[in-house]
Amino acid sequence: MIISMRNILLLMGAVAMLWSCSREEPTTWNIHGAGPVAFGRLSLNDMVADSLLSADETGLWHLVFTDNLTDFNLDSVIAIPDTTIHRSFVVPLIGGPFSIPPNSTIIGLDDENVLNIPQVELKEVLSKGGTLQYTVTNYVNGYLTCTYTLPGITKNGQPAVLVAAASPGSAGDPATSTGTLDLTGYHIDLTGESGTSTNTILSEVNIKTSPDAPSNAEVYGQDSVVIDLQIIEPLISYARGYFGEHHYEMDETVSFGDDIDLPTGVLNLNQISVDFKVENNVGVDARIEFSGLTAENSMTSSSVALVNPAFFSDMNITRATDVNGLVIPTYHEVSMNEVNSNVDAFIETLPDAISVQADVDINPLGNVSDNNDFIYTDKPLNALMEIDIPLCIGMSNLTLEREIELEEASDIPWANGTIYLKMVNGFPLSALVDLTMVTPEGTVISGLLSNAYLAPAPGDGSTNQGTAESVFAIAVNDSWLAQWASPNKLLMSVSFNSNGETEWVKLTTSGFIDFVITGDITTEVSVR
Amino acid sequence: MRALIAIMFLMTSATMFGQTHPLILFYGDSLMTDKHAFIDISVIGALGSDHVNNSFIEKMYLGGHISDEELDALVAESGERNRAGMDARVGMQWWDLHTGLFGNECYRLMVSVQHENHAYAAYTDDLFKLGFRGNSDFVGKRVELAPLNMQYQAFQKFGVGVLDQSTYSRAQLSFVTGQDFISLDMNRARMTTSSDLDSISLFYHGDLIMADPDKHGFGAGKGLGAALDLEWNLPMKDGEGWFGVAVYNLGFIRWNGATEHYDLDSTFYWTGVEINDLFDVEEDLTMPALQDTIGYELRTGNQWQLMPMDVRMRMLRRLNERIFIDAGIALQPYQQSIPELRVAVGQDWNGKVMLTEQISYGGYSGFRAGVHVRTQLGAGFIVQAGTDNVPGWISSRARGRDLVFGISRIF
Repeated sequence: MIISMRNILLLMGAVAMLWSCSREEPTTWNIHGAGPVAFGRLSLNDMVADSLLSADETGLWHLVFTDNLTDFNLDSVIAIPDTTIHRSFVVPLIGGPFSIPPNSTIIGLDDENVLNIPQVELKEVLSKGGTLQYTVTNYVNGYLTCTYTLPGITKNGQPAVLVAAASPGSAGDPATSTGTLDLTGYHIDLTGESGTSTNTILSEVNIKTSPDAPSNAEVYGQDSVVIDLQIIEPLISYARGYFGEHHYEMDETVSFGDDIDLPTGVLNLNQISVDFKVENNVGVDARIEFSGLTAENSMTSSSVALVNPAFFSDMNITRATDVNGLVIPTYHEVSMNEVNSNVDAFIETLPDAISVQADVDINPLGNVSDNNDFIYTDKPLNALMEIDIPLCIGMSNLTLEREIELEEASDIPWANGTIYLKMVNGFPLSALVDLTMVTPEGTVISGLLSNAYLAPAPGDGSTNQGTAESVFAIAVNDSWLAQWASPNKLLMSVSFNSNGETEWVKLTTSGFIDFVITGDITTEVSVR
Repeated sequence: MRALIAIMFLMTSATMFGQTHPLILFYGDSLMTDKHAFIDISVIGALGSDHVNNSFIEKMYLGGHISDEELDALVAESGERNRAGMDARVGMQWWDLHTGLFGNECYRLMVSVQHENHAYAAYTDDLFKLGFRGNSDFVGKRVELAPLNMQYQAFQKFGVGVLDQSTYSRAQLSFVTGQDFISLDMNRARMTTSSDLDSISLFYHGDLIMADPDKHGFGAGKGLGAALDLEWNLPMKDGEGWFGVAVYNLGFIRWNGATEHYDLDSTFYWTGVEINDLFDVEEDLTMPALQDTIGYELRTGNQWQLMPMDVRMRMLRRLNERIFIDAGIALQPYQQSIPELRVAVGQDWNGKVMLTEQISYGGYSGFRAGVHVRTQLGAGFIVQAGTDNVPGWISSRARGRDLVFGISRIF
């Protein structure tokens, strides 16, 4: 063949080059698009946590807020302190040395150990934590096995048995052996050998030469074995006994601003009620005298003290009953409303904290239970406040604020145009809407909407009287689109207004705000 | 997306499968008698459109920004029905000129190998405007997106045939391996944007076929087929010219069982992303992927597909020793092109150099003016080069561009 392979390859190479023209940049063009972006419906339970809302039979929303003002901390009353029990056992012989063969008992006796728990006489406890650490110190010249049985400390019906093997020791050079026992789940009987004592742990000691000792023990009279028991950080889940008479002065502030995202502004409430309830799950009597309950608003530095005679009278709290582990609590309740108290002003403060002052007496009548006070530490004596606010309200600039994290609009190189926010308001409330893009430090980057007026639905919300439509235009431009990215944020602020703060409107389950976001945007399409 | 755009715009006009060129028909006897073989390598590629211009095609293919002015002009120039297409072929053929077949000294064995790409798109003006200008001008109006027809085929042919050296007529049977096939046919499709922008509705009815999407690249082997290429040349009685009829790619490809067939028949109604919690929109405000929102039924299985057949008729006649004319018509019945008419005037310098100037109309494009040159070099080489569309190489506003280059050797 005369056409050379070289020439063919050259030609093929040229063809391949022609075919392999590759894109060095994307194809782009500008496009002007219009259409819907998003839609949705806001009802009140979208703006307020579901757990705080309840609708009555008429469809009227109630804001129901329950908080535990305080747990009266009775755990500390029956707390067992860290305790060390030091016991020395002497060989009951005189003279010596005596050669004692293996597996021979040299000391055996029962013993009682008393725990030092001031003002409290416990008969039994159930432990949920803590450690029993033991140390055996052997002054006897022989291999010993020390068995320390605690018949009153049981788990699943079996007593705790501490067994320590001690090497030979001497008066000048004793041998020690240590070990620990996890007290979790142990029942501790503190009635001692008699069964009627309190704070007393019975123990049985048996010390003998080790069965497998290689040689006889050489024992002198008055040689001793010392046992140290340490109860370290004991935790109690249940206790019974007499817990003593105690007096406390309580001064606490309960903050709940983080829990319920409180609005700011002026609120006028109607038919508000507050139920105050002391729930006693503990088998002790108590007397509580509240001396102050104050609503505090840290934003406005305002506060309102509750006024209600019944609340500030002595409350005698009867002990709970334990029926085979089932606790039947007792209650003391005080109901407050706008007639017998100033709860409306109290709540209208829009408090983010409530301070409580009280004097509390435990067992004011002494040991009337014959050492049968009880406590399950997970069931305390507590004070609950339940606030029920029917949302028949007047408001002026009641403002909800939300921060929305931004995600980078990385696929959009630039855009100009308008985003439309159409809102159909079914609430009889007007609102001023602000939408601002801010830096993490709060510096305003761009005000997207400023005091945009959302018209109210006609009527007072009693009946379904229609809706009002408002359309807001948000200009889209490169300057703010470029900054539409984390860590910047979108700050949304909605200030609600009724027709004057003293005119009440009803927020019902039929109320809503429909919104539709549409766009009419010019941007660049890029195809790689 | 890119593939669809590539299909739509990287396309060919010209019916580029030239019949036997005049140099061989006029001088074949002297060139090929008592020779051993003829070998030919050729490259043919053509883009064409009756709508989009070269600037647009280049940017769609090679990248770059298409200006608003360009697009506005293209929108203004678009008709109700617009076409664009591409044909490309690289091939090699070999004729045995020494040994007769079937007891006839004029019958010769021929073999060939070639790779071909064919694509076309036919679309409405509304679709083009929607895609490149957006829907803003269509608010409150209906956008007619159909009829829309797009197709891309790529395959390799391995042919064996018989050449009648007395007329250079030939018949060739080829084994075909399919490299790729995508076809979209929308019979009815329309889109409406509501006046207050709160909804966009899209109705569509059609089908999309994609050959085995798991295989890629040259010689992917997604299907097998067979094709006939026939060319019949009839000399005029006075010996001063020829009539010719040719059919290329008369055949089929059976695309394999992994071919995906999408039945597109649904109405899609877009009202935006539903946000359940305006104050916690991060999770809600995620745009759904288009493929998740388009309604379709998918089935897989073999697909029998006709190959892009090309039918040609021509008349070649000498007016005198120096001047001849070459006129013909080409049809691609399975493509979206219209019949292509062409008339060429040639100058012949004793077969050493032939120059033809051509005017043509049809295919995927409108009127075009072209020029071709064929020349004998020493040692039996014949080189041909040309274009059917000279303005396509000069003006970015011309609609299409093509190139033919071939080198042959007779020995």
